[in-house]
Amino acid sequence: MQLSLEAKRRRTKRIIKDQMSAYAFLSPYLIIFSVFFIFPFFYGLVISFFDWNLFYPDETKFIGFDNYQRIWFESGGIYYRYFWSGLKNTLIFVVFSVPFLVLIPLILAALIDNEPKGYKIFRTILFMPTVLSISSVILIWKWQFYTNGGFINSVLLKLGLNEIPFLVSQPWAWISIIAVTIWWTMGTNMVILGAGLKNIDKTLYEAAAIDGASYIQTFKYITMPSLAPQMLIVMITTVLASFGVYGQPDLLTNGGPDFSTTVLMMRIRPLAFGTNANPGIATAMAVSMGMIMIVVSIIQARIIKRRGDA
Amino acid sequence: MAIRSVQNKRKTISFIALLLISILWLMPLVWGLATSFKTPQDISSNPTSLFPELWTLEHYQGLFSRPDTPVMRWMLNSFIIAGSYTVLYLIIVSFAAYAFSILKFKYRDQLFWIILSTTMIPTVINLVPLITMTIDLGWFGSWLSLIIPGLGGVFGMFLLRQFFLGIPYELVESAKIDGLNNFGIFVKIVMPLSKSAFLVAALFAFMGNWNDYLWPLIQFSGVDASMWTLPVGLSKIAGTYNYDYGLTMAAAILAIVPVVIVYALLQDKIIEGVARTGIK
Amino acid sequence: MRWKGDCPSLSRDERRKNMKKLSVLLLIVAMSIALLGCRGGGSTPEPTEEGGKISLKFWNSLTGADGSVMRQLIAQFNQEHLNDIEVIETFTNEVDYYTNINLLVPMKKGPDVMIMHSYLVQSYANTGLIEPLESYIETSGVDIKSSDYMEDIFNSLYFEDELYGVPLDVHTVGIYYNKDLLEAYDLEVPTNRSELIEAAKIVQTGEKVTNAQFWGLPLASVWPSEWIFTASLYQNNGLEIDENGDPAYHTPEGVNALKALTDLIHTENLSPLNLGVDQDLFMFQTGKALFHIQGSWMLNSMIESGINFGVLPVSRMFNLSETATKDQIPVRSHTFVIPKPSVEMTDRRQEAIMTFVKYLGDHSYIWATAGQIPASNIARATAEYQALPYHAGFGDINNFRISAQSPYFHQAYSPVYSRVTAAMANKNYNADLLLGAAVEEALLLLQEARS
Repeated sequence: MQLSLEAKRRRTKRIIKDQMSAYAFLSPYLIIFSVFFIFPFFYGLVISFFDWNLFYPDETKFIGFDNYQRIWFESGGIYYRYFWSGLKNTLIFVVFSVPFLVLIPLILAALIDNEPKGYKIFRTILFMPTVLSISSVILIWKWQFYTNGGFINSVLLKLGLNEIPFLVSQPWAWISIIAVTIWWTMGTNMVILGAGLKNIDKTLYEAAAIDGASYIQTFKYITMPSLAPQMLIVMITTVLASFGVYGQPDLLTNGGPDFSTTVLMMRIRPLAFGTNANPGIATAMAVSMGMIMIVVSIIQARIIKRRGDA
Repeated sequence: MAIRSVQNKRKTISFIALLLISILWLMPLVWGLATSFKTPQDISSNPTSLFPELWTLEHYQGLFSRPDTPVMRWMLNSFIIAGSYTVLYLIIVSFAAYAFSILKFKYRDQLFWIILSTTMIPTVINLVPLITMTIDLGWFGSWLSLIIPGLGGVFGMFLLRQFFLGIPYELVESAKIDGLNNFGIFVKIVMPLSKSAFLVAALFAFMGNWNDYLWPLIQFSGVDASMWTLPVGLSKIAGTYNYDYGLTMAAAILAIVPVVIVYALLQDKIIEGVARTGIK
Repeated sequence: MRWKGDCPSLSRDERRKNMKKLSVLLLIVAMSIALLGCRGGGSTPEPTEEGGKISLKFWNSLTGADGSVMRQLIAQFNQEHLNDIEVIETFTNEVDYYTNINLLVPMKKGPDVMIMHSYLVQSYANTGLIEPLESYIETSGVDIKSSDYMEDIFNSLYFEDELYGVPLDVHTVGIYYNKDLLEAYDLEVPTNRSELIEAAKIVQTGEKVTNAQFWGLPLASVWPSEWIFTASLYQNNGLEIDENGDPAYHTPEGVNALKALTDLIHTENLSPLNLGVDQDLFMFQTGKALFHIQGSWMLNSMIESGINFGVLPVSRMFNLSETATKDQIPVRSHTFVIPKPSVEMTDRRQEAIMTFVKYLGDHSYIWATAGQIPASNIARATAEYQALPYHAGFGDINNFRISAQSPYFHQAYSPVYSRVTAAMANKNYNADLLLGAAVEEALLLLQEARS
């Protein structure tokens, strides 16, 4: 439709006003975000290119990519060792925890979706651990896992079985860490997936039932595809969160046995401000980890999108 | 009808499964609760039993009676700080989410995804610059440091943006035709429709700020105990090598009670709220 | 065509409601800001010297029940110095304490005086984060001299010939024993390793008949195993580090030290495997163990447990052969240090600090009730201290040995701790491999730290 000059001018005015409005709405957030997040972020990024001395700021000097080179390639060095062992342990955790952190909430959400009696109470109970702080969680769970007197082991003994050294030997150390993580964090995913399930048109189910489809078939061909958007969010956020794991391996198993559960964040933290601080290395490790996470997320998104389209 | 009985069977199976799992799920919490009511001797001799032999309030009393650990004051402080934070957070973040969803401007979506992706780098490296900044601003040790820097959080902004995207644009258009400006649209159209999303964002914002530990700890390092938040204060009650399990467990339970209550009350709205954000 | 401002779609009532909502919103915002304004400035004012009263910031990592004793002591000091000095104390749990120091002292947000663990004093002196004290002592005129303190401990606080700390206490580990059980089995308090093991075995065999959960000397593998290993190392004539500060425990003595500790679990079978932190403590406190090796700081916890117990020193309990050092007892010290100042260090302030340090030292017999042993000879000579029933049980102070001195002590020695735990948890451990791995890691850390 042809607009008169008047109308055109008014429209331009409106668009400009829209832009100004947008900036007005956006600016408080952007200001705070830039000042308190972007600025420190770039500051940190810059630190990674320096030999940064926490105690003697004058002795800080620029070293370019040295820190990165050391952690990625200098195979005799201690930081190389910390980085790669930490990364390996983090990856182990991610690979083994994420499937459970997605499947278990999915199953629980599906059960709740059938709306049996008291489903709201069940939902509260299952979500409750998610509001706890890490220290409360560890406090409670450490006692469950102890050998010689832990709750689980005392039950095992009563059943006539042998005790399991949950916190001090593999693979039980990992199993304990993952179990606690599931208990603590699966609530968010359960809620997201549950909401997604709720939005699926029930008539689809009825149609499938009339056609004689079994529960499994219905789930596979109707539920899952409809759940795709939620699954995408859940999978990506869970992977990202798992990369940053810190509290559970640190407090539950102290990174043991024999440093086998010492994840990358446990190496980064003390290097950032511990007694042997090397902030340059710490930030180089953090940035490297971030890069890896971005790559993993992109790959994930591509795979899921492709599956979704198929 | 055949379908009805199948549905009923599913409900029964679900019920049984959920019941068993919930009992398992609750046990650690029940244990924690029980420990907080056990006498120290009971804790040593029967650390794993789920029922105190003798119920005692001594740990909770200890928390509230020691003069160097004003637990009630800490809870109040945490409430004020987390509460102010949540209110400000909702305002600032919802404005931004509105801009990123309903309003139109150049590079809108690219800017959004850039912001989102910067949050993938672990924030531990932000700590030192942030400390310097709060010192330079004169906020070091004050509650402002616990409230303002976190207002740029991404999770709530993401949540609300997704939700706003789900609002039918026709409503916005007809409001525009009716002559509402952007602010009017936000207040009269978007906000009323998004109550549940706001509740979700509020809950996570409150929870995150309430449970925050390391940052407040550093800020409070030179500050009188009466100004501390609850997690910081509670961490100083338990000795490092002189661990009082009953006391620490009581402290942990105390720390989570407010958040659990808030969650239990808002449960339904939260689920509904998250429902509309999950869809893209 | 509709004009802006018309808004026919909204009734007057609705508009009023919207205005109300808006004003509520604005009110909340205003309130929040107001609250923030009030609270925002609520931090403790910077220490000042107004009108004669000096305000000192004092940091430490003494939390928990023994921390309360420190709080009392400080209150007492403030009371007696009502007009001239006020000490404001901040305590943080140990895990985060040094993070605070590392971050905030360089940023001039540190305290006036603080407590540091003795094994870190050299390291912090080396990085310049703490100050030499002699000028403070001189300027203040307060009477602090080495002859008033445990000599070895005091001397260990010198770095490059300058004094960096004044000790408050020493603490150590001792062997708590169940008096009733020893009596019931007609046993004497053991005075050396073979007596210890024999007593433990006799009682364990006897008790296990009725109580399968009873153990003679249960040992948790993570803590305080580093203390016990150190005791064993000393008593077997081993060294933590050599004169260059390099690790010196991968030696036959080190292997013996490890063996002496782990034999109690693997060979003598006096302890279950894989005991978690504090499980051995609980066993002792509920009468399910005869002996328990634990810190002096847990003294009050033992008293509260109601067990009729005594304490015996770790001397002669770990040497596998006759050595000159078999009596040695490892100790650590809580030490007063002064960080790089965050405010102007006037003469008056220096005097206030040293007055505080001296006062606490002289009155550390009060602090001793928390289970510590005063480093001040004056405090130990008081009647109050002499009257404390258990402290003598931790050993003759002439046998106290503090950790070796080096600015890189932590890097050189701490890698062995996790290997000790590994050896305690695995019957078939290879001492050579474990100690070698510890040394390797230590060398890499040292290389890094020294560059």
